Amino acid sequence: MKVEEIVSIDFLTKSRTTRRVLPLLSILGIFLSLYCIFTVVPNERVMGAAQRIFYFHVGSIMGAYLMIAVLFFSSLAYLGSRKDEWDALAAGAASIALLFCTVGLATGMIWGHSAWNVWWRWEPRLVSFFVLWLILFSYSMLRGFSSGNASQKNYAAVLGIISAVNVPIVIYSIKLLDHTQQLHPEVVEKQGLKDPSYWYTFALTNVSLLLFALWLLSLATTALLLSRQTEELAAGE
Amino acid sequence: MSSFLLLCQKDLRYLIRARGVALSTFGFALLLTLVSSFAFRQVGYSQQEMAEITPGILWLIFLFSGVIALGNGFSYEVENSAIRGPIFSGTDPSVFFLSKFVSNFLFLASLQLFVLLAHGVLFGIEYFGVFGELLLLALLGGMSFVALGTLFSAIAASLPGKDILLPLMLFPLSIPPVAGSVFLMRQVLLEQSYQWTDFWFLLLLGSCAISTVLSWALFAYVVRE
Repeated sequence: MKVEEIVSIDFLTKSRTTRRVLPLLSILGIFLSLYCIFTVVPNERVMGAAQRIFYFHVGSIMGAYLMIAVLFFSSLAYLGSRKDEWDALAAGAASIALLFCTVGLATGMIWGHSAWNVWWRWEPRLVSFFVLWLILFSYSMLRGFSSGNASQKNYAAVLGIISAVNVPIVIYSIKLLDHTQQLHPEVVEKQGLKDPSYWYTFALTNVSLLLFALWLLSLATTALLLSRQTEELAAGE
Repeated sequence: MSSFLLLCQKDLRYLIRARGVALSTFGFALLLTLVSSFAFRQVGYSQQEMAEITPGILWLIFLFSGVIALGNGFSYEVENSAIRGPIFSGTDPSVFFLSKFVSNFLFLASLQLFVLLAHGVLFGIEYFGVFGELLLLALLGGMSFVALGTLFSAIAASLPGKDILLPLMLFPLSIPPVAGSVFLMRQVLLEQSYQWTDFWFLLLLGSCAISTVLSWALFAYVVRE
């Protein structure tokens, strides 16, 4: 039994239902969550309105983690099967992960400026997330520099696996660190969301941003596969 | 085993005979020591503050001079397609990786020893009694750095822009072991109490093991094509 016989990414790139359902659901969800964030949820006691950025901050970081998981499994699948579509999926996932990571960093910095009065603190969780962003950035640089090279897909798959394996080390090991050295709030772990409206807004934003990430992933992957097909056709003529 | 020794011998012989390579890397490390002195020495920090800063500065020097050595160690394989020799002769890629890893590690280890000594002498840092521990921590971080660096230098060697691409790929992934090494070295220098089960030590050892095993396992996919 080979990898491609068990799973296929056709549902992401070829299925018409996916192409219609994903954008519809994610855009509807995002507008609904925006409505909830700005009208339904009460003001946070200490930080006030600035806390409302929390929902998109966490949601986009969740989207980035999902894309990194996709990057890991598609890189493995590419090395196992040598099928082009897995490579395209990995490339798409890495670029979307970089995008969501950037959004997560930017929203975090905006929040940090109103909560800590500085744009950046050299605090373990912030540093580790910055490292994650740099790892994804270097992956996209490798893609750029190696385009046209015969071994590009192998190189990218190898770096993709190592990068994705390092993410839990970089991100989750920080939680073992002494709490006196940390500044980043732990809202979900400490059950900081008291009002029930916080919870469903949080869940709604997360789900719709995850769907949005999947939609972008399907677009990026399809575009890459199509551009490769065009190149092949042009080369054949 | 014999091919491993042979390949190791070849790499080390190259480093010794092509004197320019080793010599220029060591000279570059000295240059970095000088530049780092501009950052803080003129201000006249106390011994304690120096101990706080020194591990970070040392690792900056290790990283920058190490990455040059690593890039060099693979580009001469690619220049005349010399890499095809061991691959086509049926040498196991993992043996090829191990030989490169060991020769690179020996080179970086001697570089680290040299930098530690030079830095200590030039800045008057009191290494007395803790030098062995400092060197061990530097070498542990260096092991992880060299393992990833051997893999990535094989990737970068055949690409345009390899000189910028290698540090770009290597440095972010080396942050966990380097951070562990830096924090532990600082604790050693400040003679604070610490345990070998500390967070930073687990991070250093864990990332060292993971990056070495992964680089070793994935190397075949990089060179075999």
